Amino acid sequence: MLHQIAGPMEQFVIKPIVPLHVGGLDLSFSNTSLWMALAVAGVTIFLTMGMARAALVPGRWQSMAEMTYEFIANTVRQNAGEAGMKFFPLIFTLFMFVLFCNLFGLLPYSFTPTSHIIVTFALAMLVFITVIVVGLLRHGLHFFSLFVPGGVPGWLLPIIVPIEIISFLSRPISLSVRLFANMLAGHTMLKVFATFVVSLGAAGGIMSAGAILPLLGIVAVTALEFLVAALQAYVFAVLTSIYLNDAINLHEHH
Amino acid sequence: MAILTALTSAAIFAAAEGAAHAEGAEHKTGLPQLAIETFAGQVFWLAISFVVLFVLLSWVVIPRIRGVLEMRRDRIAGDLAAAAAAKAEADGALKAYDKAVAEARARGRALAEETRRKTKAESDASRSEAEAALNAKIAASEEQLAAATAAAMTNIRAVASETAAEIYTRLTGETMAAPDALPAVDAALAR
Repeated sequence: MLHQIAGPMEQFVIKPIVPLHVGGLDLSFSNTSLWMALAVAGVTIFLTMGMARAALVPGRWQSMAEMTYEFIANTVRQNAGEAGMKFFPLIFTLFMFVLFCNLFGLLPYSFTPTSHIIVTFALAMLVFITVIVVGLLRHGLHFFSLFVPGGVPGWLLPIIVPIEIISFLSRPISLSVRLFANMLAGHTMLKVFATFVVSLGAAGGIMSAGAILPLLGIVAVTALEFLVAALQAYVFAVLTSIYLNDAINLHEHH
Repeated sequence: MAILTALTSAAIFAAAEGAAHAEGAEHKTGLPQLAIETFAGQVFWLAISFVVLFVLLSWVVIPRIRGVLEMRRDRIAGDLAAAAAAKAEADGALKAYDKAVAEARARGRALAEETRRKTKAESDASRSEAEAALNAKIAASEEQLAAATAAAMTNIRAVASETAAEIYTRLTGETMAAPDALPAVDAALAR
């Protein structure tokens, strides 16, 4: 019975839609590309249509667009200060892209680009490289004083500095794995519950009645996944702001 | 930012290519997330999508939202300033009104005082005039009375002396002129 149902991992398989091979690389336009494009379209529609009237007294839609903007703007301002607002477009783009990828991924038959480590890792590397470039441009070699926390006794530095360096280097990993693992786990859990519903329902008799439990579970997990989708996008934006704060202000916190 | 994305994707392309050659299609049955042959395509389309979104947001969406928020903030600040100005104006008007009322009240008081003073002076004047007239009349009457009294006294002396002379003549048979009796009459009147 079970082998006829798609496995919980099958939803993550990349399926080419328009094949494209360049220099031995498979650059096909696939289901993930489609849902990335849809996320871009969704963000653009959400933000431009909402602001189409650009009214002084906003309607509901315009209010949502403005609140999203101000929410991220405040996050950046709090974590990276006024100087960090220079990077607001980047952080806002990251947040909206991740948010819409996550949310669209909850639609039936959709695909979640952010459930793939390579996607989240690329985004995390973008942040990581931005932080390094900004830090070096602003502070030159002094940027590396980031690895030497103030107020630490000299004899501790041989221990502290490697720890700081490792923690700095592990940022893109933790940033990408956090998002990817949350999406992967949520979608897998939904699929597993769904499989239970189908197999119990098909089992007949008293077993069929038991299918209601995993069904309720799906409802609960779906609700949770909406929270996780928004939360992980926010976490990505907050951590990006905090990392950029390091690059802009070194040790000072805002 | 676009350059960074492109750099990142290029780096990952290279890594993915190497890994794909090394491991081949072994992962087809494993976790789809580890299917390295799909990495290049994913990162390629991610870069395109992200750059497109970044450009759209930073060139179109963010300026528009910022514009609306700034317009609203300016408008609210402007309205607040106008309200403050109107309040100041109202306060000024109230002050001017209070001043005008106080002035009017002072003027009224002064006018009332003036009127009262004038009336009092007039009444005083007419009263003293009346008193003077009355006093004049009293004086004239007293004068008249004194004249009348004097006249009466003169007559009394003449009559008394004549009567006394007559009485003397009848009693004694000796003739006596009236003026001769005058000293005796005056002595009797003086008693």
